[in-house]
Amino acid sequence: MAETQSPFRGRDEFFRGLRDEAPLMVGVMPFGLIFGALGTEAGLTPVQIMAMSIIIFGGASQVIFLQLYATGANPLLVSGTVSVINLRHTLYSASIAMYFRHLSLRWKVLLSYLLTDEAFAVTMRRYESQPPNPVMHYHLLGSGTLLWVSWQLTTFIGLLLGAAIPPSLGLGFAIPLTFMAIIIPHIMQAPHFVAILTSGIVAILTSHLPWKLNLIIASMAGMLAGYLAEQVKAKAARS
Amino acid sequence: MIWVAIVISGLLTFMMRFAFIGSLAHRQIPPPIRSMLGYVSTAVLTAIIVSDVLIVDEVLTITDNPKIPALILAGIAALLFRNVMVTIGIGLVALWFLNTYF
Repeated sequence: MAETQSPFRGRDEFFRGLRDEAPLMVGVMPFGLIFGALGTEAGLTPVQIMAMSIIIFGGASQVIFLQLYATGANPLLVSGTVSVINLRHTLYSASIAMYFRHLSLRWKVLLSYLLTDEAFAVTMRRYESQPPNPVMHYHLLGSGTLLWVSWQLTTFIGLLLGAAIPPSLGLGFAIPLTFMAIIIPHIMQAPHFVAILTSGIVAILTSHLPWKLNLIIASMAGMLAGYLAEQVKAKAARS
Repeated sequence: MIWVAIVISGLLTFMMRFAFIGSLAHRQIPPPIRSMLGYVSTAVLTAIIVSDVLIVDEVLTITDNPKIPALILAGIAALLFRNVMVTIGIGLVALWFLNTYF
């Protein structure tokens, strides 16, 4: 392997990835606990809950999956909604693809599986702040592995605790609160503000539709509104 | 049935992550689509928050809904402290307080 002669060591990048990812675990771990507990509350078996965390491996989409499943929506609709929520990952894939071109298919499959919000965020920052070296993909292996292990572990602890936590505690409210903490920092950027406003209003207007179809419609409307606002802003800046 | 949904969701999610990393042709996302995808997170999360908080038992509930003031309070906290744990903590305590005393 060329890596042994290279001045850059995969090991170092791997541990750097772990270290860079660590602070983000503060947001991920409570989320995993809550997902595990909600899964138990929704009546899923421990195997089904763990399978969701391993096979889907996408926090927000797993919570929506549970809520939709509880309403008795059909599997295709559940998968369709999960896909809309996870659409943003195509953007991550497109942004980071240029750095992975030299890798084998096995690496590409593994790194794609590990490509989540938090891991992408720190690894992309690494690629953009340094001249890329041939083993920098180990950084994503590190950040992704830490996230993966934390997510599986907290899902498991959450599903064990789930039975013990009374629903009256209102733990489910922690989910919208977590999302609130994620979107608020963007609210000062005009296009994001327009996207938030549009999505919120459309979600209310279409809330009478069955199977949470309002989520898909509002998401699409919000995306489009954000894009249009960005165009208007760019045009205003040019003139 | 739940297994069908789990497996299809997992496959689709993986395919979206793999779409560009795995493609041999060096395709790029057309700029308008790229720009739209930048707003997916905010749009999706807002839709989830709104329907989670405002829809109680499938009915739009604006009045007599303690989650609304609790969410607003948490939003202010998020803006001030920019910290996920503080935001969740303040929101949960506010909801508990409102449910207990009002």
